[in-house]
Amino acid sequence: MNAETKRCFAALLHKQRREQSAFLNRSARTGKQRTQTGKLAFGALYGAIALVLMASFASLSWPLAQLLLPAGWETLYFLVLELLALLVSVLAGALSSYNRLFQAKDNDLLLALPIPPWMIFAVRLSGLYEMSLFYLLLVWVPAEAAYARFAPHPLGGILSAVPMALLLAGAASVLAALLGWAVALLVAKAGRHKALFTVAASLGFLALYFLGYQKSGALLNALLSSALWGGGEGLPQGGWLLLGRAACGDIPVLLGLLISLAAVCAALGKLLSGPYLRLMTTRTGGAASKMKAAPSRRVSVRRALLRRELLHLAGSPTYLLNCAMGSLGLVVLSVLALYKAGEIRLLAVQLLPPGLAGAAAAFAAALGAGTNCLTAPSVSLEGESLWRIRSLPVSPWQTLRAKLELHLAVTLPPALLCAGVLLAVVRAALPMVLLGLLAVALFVVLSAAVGLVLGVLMPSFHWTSETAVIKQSPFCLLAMLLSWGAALALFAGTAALSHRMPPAVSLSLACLLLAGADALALRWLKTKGAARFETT
Amino acid sequence: MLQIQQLTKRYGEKTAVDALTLTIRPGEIFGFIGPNGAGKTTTLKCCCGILQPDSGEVRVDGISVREDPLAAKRKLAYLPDNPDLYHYMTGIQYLDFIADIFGVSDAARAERVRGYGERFGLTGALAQPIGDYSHGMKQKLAIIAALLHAPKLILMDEPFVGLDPLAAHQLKQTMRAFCDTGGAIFFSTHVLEVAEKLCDQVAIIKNGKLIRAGSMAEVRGDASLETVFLELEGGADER
Repeated sequence: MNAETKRCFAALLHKQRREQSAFLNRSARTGKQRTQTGKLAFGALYGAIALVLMASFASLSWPLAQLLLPAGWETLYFLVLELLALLVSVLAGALSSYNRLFQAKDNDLLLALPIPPWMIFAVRLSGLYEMSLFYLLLVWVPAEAAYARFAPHPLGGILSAVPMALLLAGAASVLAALLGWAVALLVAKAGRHKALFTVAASLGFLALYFLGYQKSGALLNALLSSALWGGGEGLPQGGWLLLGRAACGDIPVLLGLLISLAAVCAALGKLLSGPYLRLMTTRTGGAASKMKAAPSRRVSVRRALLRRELLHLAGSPTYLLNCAMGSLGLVVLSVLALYKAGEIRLLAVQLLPPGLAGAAAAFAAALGAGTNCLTAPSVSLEGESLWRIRSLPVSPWQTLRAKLELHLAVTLPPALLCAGVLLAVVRAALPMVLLGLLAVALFVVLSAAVGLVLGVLMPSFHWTSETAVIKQSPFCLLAMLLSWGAALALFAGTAALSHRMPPAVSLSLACLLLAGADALALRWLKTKGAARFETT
Repeated sequence: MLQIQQLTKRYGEKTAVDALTLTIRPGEIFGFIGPNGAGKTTTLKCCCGILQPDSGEVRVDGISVREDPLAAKRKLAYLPDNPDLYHYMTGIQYLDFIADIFGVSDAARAERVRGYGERFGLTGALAQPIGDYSHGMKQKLAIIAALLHAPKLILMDEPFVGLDPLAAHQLKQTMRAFCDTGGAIFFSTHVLEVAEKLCDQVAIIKNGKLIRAGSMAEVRGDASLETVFLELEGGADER
């Protein structure tokens, strides 16, 4: 690598770092550097979210370590957690690798500079690697902590923890890049139907992932049974155990895996160096076609603004896949609930006090609805075209209201369907059905409003890819966590009160609380939020 | 049609526009020229309500932009220098959106979309996503959108950038025709030849301050606009 190449590489890496840390270092509202306190607050928020996620993975690794490590199955313990970490990391990276690697907004800018395409790919891959490493550590850190606590001789495993994490993150980013490449190849063929195709491909991937997850759950149970009570019969042998042995501190195996990964990375770079430029410059619209386009009939300002939001959602696979898949999940849950009605009813009778099944059904649907996160990124998604809405005779509240209505239009029907099905499955009484549906509707309004409040408070308009706003900003995750927290807290409150009053009364109180919170959030948005949006 | 009185806009310590006062009357094409960073775009953005001035007043057809921004915006159209339009819409969806916001009737929008679409050679591309448009096509679409609701005032920031010669010619004709029917146009440009031929009035701004304004004949006198501009900017010697 000559001096010019090195300089170019360093400059690109520097740009990548600045882009990735922009949300932390620069205030999107003022465009200025954050103060030290602001940076610390943002860092603390991220840290808190990471800790919550780590705690959830610790709830899996801790009992696993308790079972397997004292019995001497260290290799199996690491193998299971390595595969889990890889799955989490690949899933997180795969959905954004196409946009990050192939269709970033600064493609033309970079290609106009004297930078070889392989270098752009390598630097972008390093960004994907960092993201993969972050998600991987969410699983890996609690896994290593449990190992240190329960392993009889943990030194080797602890010493190899860092190189193993780096290695696994490398493997995850390579897999994610390959998936992104496959999507890019297919999108190049799909032409004008890119958005539809990307969504279909991603859903197919998710379906495969879900099937894999189900199968792996059964497999894990079989492995544990075999390890603990079956004398180890049927456990993975040979190559599979290499991964586990490397994590236990087997230096030659670890080195071997590192070298293999480096070779795979080099091969991938070689493989992609040719088609990368072509895939980067693929324009999805194809040749300019002469098509007649007639204006549609006049609609109200309110409907026009909602249509604008709907068109944005439909035209952006990233937005659709990351923020609206809760709706699909609710429909799937409704179908599953009908299919497994008997089992659900039995479970409700066994686990819940009489009369509380209706509230549980309603809050289960609310939890599902809380995974939709349309409003939180919607303000930032205005991006550089913010001038357009600002120069039109539309009040800030009208614009914000359209974003709320988008969330309601996409989330409310499947949420009510799911709640209705679940309430019917548990055979809730009519007053509980009505109250349950009301609670779900009020909850959907609240989750939309909370997301929008966060979006207005933390906008970021200067992004190069929508992924930066949707996946790398804290407010989407925060909005979802707040929604889920509210649903769980309300259910806990309803359950606690049901010992002292009929469940219908406690659910009515939950509805009142939700209505109050809705009113407060909407009032803030209409007044202070609108003023803030206007001057951001 | 447009009254700017003592308009001042600061970005932190820097005063981008300093006590600017201008009046644009109906029927006038008013050119706004100055070097990069002089405050032209800031002035235009304050006039259409995108930026809030620190002091001063902007009135569109007698309506204060500060006091009743929505009413003022209904009278005007704004065309930025780099039109970042909604990439997820097709051209026709974008025009429909703008027409709906301004309440343009079905008949009027059909007629105007057809008329302006053909004039700017964009009819065949209106079914395509804006994300596939070239810069010039986006500029043409933004111009059509600006004209769609028949505003009284059009604010344009460097409207000729990216246009092919035919489209530039059509735009000049459209601007003239628009003002001949009582509309007013306030536009910034670096193309002094265009300003000289097209404008009824001109203003020159430097470091946020107005340094000369008046009819084209008054401003340039016996010289060309370029000579006057360079003299005022202090660049004549370098020439």
